[in-house]
Amino acid sequence: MIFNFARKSAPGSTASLFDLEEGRTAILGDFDLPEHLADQLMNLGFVPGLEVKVTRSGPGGDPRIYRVDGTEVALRRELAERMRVSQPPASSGVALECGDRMATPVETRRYAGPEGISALTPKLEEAGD
Amino acid sequence: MGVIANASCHAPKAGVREGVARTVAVVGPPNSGKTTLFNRLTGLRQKVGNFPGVTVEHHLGVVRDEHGREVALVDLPGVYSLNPKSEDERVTIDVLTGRMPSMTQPDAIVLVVDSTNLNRHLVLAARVIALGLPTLVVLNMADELRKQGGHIEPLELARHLGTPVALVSATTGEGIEAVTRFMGADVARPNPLDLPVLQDTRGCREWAAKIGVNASYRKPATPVWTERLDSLFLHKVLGPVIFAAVVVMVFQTIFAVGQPLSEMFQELLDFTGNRVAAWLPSGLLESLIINGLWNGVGSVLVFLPQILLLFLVIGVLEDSGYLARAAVIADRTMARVGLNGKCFIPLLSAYACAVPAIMATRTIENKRDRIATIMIAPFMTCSARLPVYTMFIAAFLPNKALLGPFLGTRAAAMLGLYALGFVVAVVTARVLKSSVLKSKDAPFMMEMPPYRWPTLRSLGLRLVDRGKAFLVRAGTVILAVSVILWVLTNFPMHNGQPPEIQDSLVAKMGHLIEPAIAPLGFDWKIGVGLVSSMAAREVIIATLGTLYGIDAESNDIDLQAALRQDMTPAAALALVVFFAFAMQCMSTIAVVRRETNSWKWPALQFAYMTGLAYAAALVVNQALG
Repeated sequence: MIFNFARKSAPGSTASLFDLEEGRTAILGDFDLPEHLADQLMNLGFVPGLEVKVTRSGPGGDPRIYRVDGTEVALRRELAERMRVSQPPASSGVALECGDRMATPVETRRYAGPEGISALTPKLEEAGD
Repeated sequence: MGVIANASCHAPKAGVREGVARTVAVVGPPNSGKTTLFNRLTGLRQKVGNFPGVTVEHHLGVVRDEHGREVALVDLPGVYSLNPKSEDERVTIDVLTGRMPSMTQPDAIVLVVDSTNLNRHLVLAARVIALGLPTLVVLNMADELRKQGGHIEPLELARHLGTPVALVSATTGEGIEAVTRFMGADVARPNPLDLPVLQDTRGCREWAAKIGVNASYRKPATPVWTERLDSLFLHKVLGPVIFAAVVVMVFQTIFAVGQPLSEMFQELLDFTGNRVAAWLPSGLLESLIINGLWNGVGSVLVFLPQILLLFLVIGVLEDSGYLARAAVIADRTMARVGLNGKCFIPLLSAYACAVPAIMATRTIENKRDRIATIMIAPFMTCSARLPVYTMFIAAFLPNKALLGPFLGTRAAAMLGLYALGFVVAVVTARVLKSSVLKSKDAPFMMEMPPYRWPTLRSLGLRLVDRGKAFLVRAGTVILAVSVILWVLTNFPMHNGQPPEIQDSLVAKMGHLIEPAIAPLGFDWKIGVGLVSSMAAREVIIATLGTLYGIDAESNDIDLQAALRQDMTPAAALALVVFFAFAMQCMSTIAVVRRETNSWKWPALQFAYMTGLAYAAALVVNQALG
C-alpha cells in the first residue's frame, strides 16, 4: 500500500501529501490552499504533475522533508495536508524514484501539454475538507 | 567557457552617473550562490543599505569592468519569483523597474541561477527576462555540475533565452571574467524565442523543462554526501542528540569564550584609557574624553567579540547547510510558541546577549517571525543581568538549603528569574503571533540546501559586514547616549568642577522620577541607578556604589549592607523583577532600530517591556510590602 488511509477520515477520499508514508513517491495533484501559498509552493518546486517523494521527517513526524523537482523542501503538516497526491503511473515505477531526471526525453513527454498534466491530476470532488 | 553574447560589444556607454559608468543589479533565488558571486566581484568594496520603510537590505559594491570603468553593483534579496505580495520580491520588482525612490533603475541585470538545479530556476529567468532589461544569465556552480555528471549547452540556452549566458563557479572563480565583460558591454535587450504566460507557474515550469531539453540539460546526481549527512543529522534519535550538542556548543562559544574575550577587551580599553588620561591635562576635557567618549566607545566595542564569534558560528552552520536541518529539528517545539525552527538559535544566543542575538535573526526569512523573535529576545536572561541579580539576591536572601546540597534558596531565586524571563517571552510571542504578527498566510516552508564546505572568504566577509553594520549603525547611537549620560552626571558645574553625583543632573532626574517609582519601593538613588543603567544593566551597581560612597567592586558586602538600610526586601524583589522585564539597554534599542529599519518596533518594545516591568514590580512591592 502506498497511502496510509488510517490517518484520513473516510476511505476512498483523495490522499493528501501528508498521508504519503516516508520513502514513498507520488504525483502531485492540486492544492486546497490560497493562491499565493500555492504560488510559493510551486516556486519551491511543488508543481502539480511532478513527482514528490517523502525523504525524511523531523522529530515527531512534523515537519517532513520532500524531494521534488531536484530539491528537498521541508513542509509542515498544515500545508502537506492540503496538497493532493495520486499514485504514480506504474510505467514510471522505481526508475523515477528521486525525480532527478527532469530534462531527459522522458520528461518531455510529461510536459507534453496541459492535457498531459490534467490526466495526472486527481479529480477534486472532495474539495474543502 | 565565457560569455556567449548575442549582441556585439559596442563603444563604451557614455552615460556617467555619480562617477559610475552604469548600475547592474544582481538577482537570483536563495541558495543560488548569488551573494558568493557578488562577494567574489566586489570583495570588501561593498556597503549595506536599507530600502526606505522595509526591513529588506541590499548590498552595494563598486566593480571595475574590463575597460577599468567603475560599475555599481547592487545585490538584491534572494527571490524565487517576482510576486508583489512578498516584501522581498516587491522590492526587487521596484528596483528593477525603476520605481524604488532611493535608487535609479539598473542598466542591466545579472541573474544568478544554480546550474545543478536549472529547470526550477529557469522559471525565475522567464520572469526576469520579461522585464526587458539587458540580462546576463549566470549558470552558477559550474564545478559541481561537472563533478556530479551534469551537462548543459550554454550556447543553445542563450539562443532560446535571447540573452547572453555564462557558465560560472563563484566559489572557484571559474568563468567570472564573463560577468565582468558583461558589465562593461552594451548588451541588447533580451530577445527570447518564446516566453510562457508568467502568471501560470505550471506553464512556466513546462516552458523551463522544454528549454532545458533543448539546451541538452542533464541534471547532476544528488551529491552523495548530502544524503549521508542527512541520514545522520536528521536521524530519529541521533539527529536531536547532535542538535543538542550543537546548541550547547553555540551557547558555550558566546558565553564561555565570548564573555572573557569581551572582558579582556574591556580591560585593554580601560588600560589605554588610563594611559591617554595620563597624557591629557586633567579637567573637563579629560573627563569628557575618558569618561564620556572613551567609555562610550568601550561600551560599543565590548560587544564586538561576542558578535563576531556568534556570526562565525552561525556562518559555519548556515553556509554548511546544517542550520536548515537544525531548523527542521527545532520547528515542532517552536511551532507551539507560534514561531518557526529558525528562531531557535537567535533566541538561545540572547541568553548571552540580546545584541548579537537580534542581529542573528536575519537568518529567519519570514518577516513576522523575525520581528516576533526580535521582540522577545531581550526577555532572555542576558549576562548583563547576572551581576544585578547576584548582588540583590546576596544582599536580601539568606542562603538556605532547599533540596539538601543540590539547591539553595539563592540558586533557586536565580533559576526563578531565568524562568520568569522565559515564560514572559513565550507568552509575549504567543500574543504577538496571534495578533499583530499573525502569519497565517505564510506557514513554514524551507528549502534544504546541499551540504557544502563553508569558505573562509565568505565567513570573513560576513564577519566584516556584520561588524561594520553594528559599529556604524548601532555604535553611533550607543556612543551618543553615552555622551548624554556623561553630560547628565557632570553638569551643572560648580566653580568649573563637575558636581558630586548627588548634585548632578542625573540625580535631579532621579528625584524627578522618584514619585513615579516610589510605589515600587524605589528611592531616588535607585532612580539614578535606573537612568544610568540604560548604558548597560550592570552599571546600576557602580552607580549605587558611587551614590553610597562605597567602591562597589572591592566592597560588595558594604554596599549590600547599605542597600539593606534603604530598601525593604519587597522592594529588592521588585527591583530584580523590574530588571527581568525592562529593556534597560540602549545597545539593544539601537540594534532593534537598525535591524527593523524603523523606530516603530524599538519604541513599541521599549514601552511594552518598561510598562510590564513597572506593573510587575508594582504588584510585587504592593503585595509583599
